[in-house]
Formats: sequence, C-alpha cells, structure tokens
Amino acid sequence: MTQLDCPAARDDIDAYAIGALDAEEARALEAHLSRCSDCSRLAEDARESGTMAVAMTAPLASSSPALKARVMASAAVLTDATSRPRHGARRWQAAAAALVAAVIAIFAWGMVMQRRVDRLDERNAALRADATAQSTELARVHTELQQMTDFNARLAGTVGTQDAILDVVTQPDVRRTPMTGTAVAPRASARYLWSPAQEVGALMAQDLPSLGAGQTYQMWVVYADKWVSGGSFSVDASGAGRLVVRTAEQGEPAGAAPSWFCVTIEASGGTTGHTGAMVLRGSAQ
Amino acid sequence: MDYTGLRDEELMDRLASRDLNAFEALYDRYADAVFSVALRVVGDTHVAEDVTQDVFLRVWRRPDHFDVRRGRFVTWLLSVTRNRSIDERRSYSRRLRHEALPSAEEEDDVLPSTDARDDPALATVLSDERQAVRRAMETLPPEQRLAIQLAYFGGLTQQEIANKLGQPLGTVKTRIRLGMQKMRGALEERRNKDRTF
Repeated sequence: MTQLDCPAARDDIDAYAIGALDAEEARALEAHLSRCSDCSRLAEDARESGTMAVAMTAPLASSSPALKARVMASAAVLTDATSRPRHGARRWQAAAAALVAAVIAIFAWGMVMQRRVDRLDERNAALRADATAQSTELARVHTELQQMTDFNARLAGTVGTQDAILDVVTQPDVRRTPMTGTAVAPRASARYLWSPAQEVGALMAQDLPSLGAGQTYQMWVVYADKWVSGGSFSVDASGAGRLVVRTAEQGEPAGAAPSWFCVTIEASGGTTGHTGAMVLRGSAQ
Repeated sequence: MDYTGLRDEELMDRLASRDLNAFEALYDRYADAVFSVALRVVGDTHVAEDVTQDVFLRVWRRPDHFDVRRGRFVTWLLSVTRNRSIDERRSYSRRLRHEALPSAEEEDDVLPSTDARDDPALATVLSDERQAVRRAMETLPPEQRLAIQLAYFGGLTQQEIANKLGQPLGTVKTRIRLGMQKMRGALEERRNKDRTF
C-alpha cells in the first residue's frame, strides 16, 4: 500500500469526503489519518462541511404523507417486536403479535390523519360560514348605501323645488290663488302662487287622496280656449304635493291671461289634453 | 411536550429510550432533505421513498450508530442517505430511468438556476445554508460542478470519472479539489455569519 505524506493526503481529503476515492486510495489515506492528527482533523472538517455542501445542492423535494405513515407505523411495529421474546416455540407468536401491532399502528396512524382531516374540514366550514356572513353584511351595506343615495336624490329634488318656490314667492308681481277640492276630493285644498310677468308658478297641495298604480296628478292652466299642462306630480303619505309650473315652456298662448287653475287625475306620465276627473280648481281672476 | 424545540442530539438521546415522538420530530425535520438526496441519486420517486424509509428505520433501530463526537447529526444522516442511495442505484441500475447523471449542460437546462422549485414551507431547516451552497455550485466552472456531482450523486470514483469524461486523472482530481474548496468555503462563510448574528 502506498505511504502518503501530509501534502499528498491533504490533496485527497476532499475527494475522500464525497466518496470519490477508490478502495485502495481510501485505505492509504485512512492509514495516514490514523497516524496524523492534523490531517485527521482536516479530513473531519472536509467531511463535515464538504458532504453537507454538496448534499444540499440536491433540489428540495417533498416527501409524501403516505411515506410518513409507513415509516411511523413500521417504527411502532419494530418497537413492539423488539421488546418481545423471539426464540423457541414462541417465535410465531412474536410474528403474529408484530402483525397485529402493525395493523393497530397503521389504524392508529390513520385515526391521527383522520383527525387532522376533520380539523381541516371544520376550519374550512368555519371559513365558509364567515365568508357567507360577510357576503350578507356586504349586501346589507350595499342596500343601505342605495337607500341613502335614493334619499339624497329625493332631498336634492326637494331642495330644488323649495328653491324654485322661493323664487316664485319673491317675484314682485306674485299672486296667490286658493284652490278647493271638488266632489272627487272634497277635503283637498291648494295654493297656487304665480307671477304673470315671469310666467312661473308654484303649486302647494294638501290632503289629496292616494292614487292607484298607473295614475298621477296633473296641473292645468286654463285659458279662454285652451288647457295648457303645467306638469304632473305625486303626493306623499299625508297627501301633500309640490309642483313648479313654467307655463312659458308648456305652450302658453302669447299675451293671454289664465282664467282657471285645475288639477286632474291622469294616466302616469301625464297627457296633452285633460281627460280625467278634476280634483282641485281655483279661479285666476 | 414540545419536541420541535429540541436539538437533534437531544432527540437522538430520546431515541435510545424508544421515544416515538422524538423519532417523529426528527422525521419531520429531515424527511424532505433525506428524500431529496435519495431522489437526486436514484432518480425514481418510489425507490427514493424506499431509501428514505430504510434510512429512518436504521436510525430508529440503531441510534447508537450516531457518534456525536464525530460531527453534526444531519451530516451523518445525509452521509448514510447518500451511501444507501448509491448502493440502491448500483443494485437497481437497470430498473432506473436514468442510467447516468445528466451532463452539466443538460442539467442546467433541466434544473432552475435558483430555488424556484423549492417549497418555502419545506425549507425552514438549513434554508440559508442550502441557498448559499446552491449559489456556490452555480458559480463553479461547469467541469468542476460535473466532476463533483458525478462523484457524490453518481457514486463514481475519480478514476471512473476520468474514464467517463476522457480526461487525465490528475485533471479530475484538481477539478474536485478546487470545486470542493469553494463549496466548503461558501458553507463555512454562511455558518460564520450565523454565529456572528
């Protein structure tokens, strides 16, 4: 066998660490290491860090849960089997006991895995319930937001109407015409404030009856030979309704003075000529 | 009792008294590392699983085979894994899909250059060291990398590598020595940083 000196030995210790020496080379190096503590320490260092460094370059792969179950069950069986007598006539009993232990171990391991699956199922169900609750809450918030948006729109409309009425009231030539309910709505009444110069008016009605679906109230400015629509309006739960009338935009006859103001019940959307029952009227004279 | 906080050597002490929970803690800690080395050597998932099972059951049966005075547990465990895998590779070489390791060039095509394939959840143990040595391996000249991989994962001696590559033996020895010095340097540098912090 070749006798190695320290430099030759140190040239081989990295190859030795990763198992790249053939049998004869390895024996020669080991013989040197047994005599040389310095080289022996270097070889230990090479084995410690060299093998680890190369081993860890293997791409990390995931071992399966089934493999773990297999290993753990086998370990449990080995524990049991090694603790029993294995000689003479009772060897078959030991083997049978090992088999039973294997079955029990596998069953027990299965139970452990099943419990883990059950716990995951429970967490899954809880997460799904949470998601459902959040969806419901989201829908509720969305509905509230929609209601607030609608209310905002209604408020903006009301403020716009109030501003228009204020504009009519502050006209220097404003006139006030009371309107009374007809036999169709005897409790109803209204005031119509209007400015002949500005051809604008504001109707404020109260105690009008609720209408059925597909119906609306429509305001009319009546001239000697023509009914001009002032627009349609609805009433709230108390029977109150507001309407701003701009007769110039509705085809008021030039230079003519109105004789009557009327409110009728018409089909939704209003009509160009009055057809329904009259509920309010007031003389413009 | 929480076994996850115990050191490897403490868990190995408990194996002597047949503590199955300690064994499970060691398995959880190193099963993927062992399986990865086995798979890299044998190239077949089922055979790699058999090797992994065999290695861990050897640990369970004979924990006294590990000598704490001779180094870290994981170093010993992966050495056992590598040697067992090489034996399996030689015994079943006809059954294996890969008769030989891919060349360095082929391997560069097959494997990503970073740890992109690695599952972060699996890499809690040794992750920093693993990244350091993989980076070091990537920076080696291809001929040094190939020689080291053929030796460690392919189970070839320096002479067999020289024959396989048609290179002088001295050239192969130099490649392995220089490459291993860089790999060891990268790992030791990483460990020194860990000690510093």
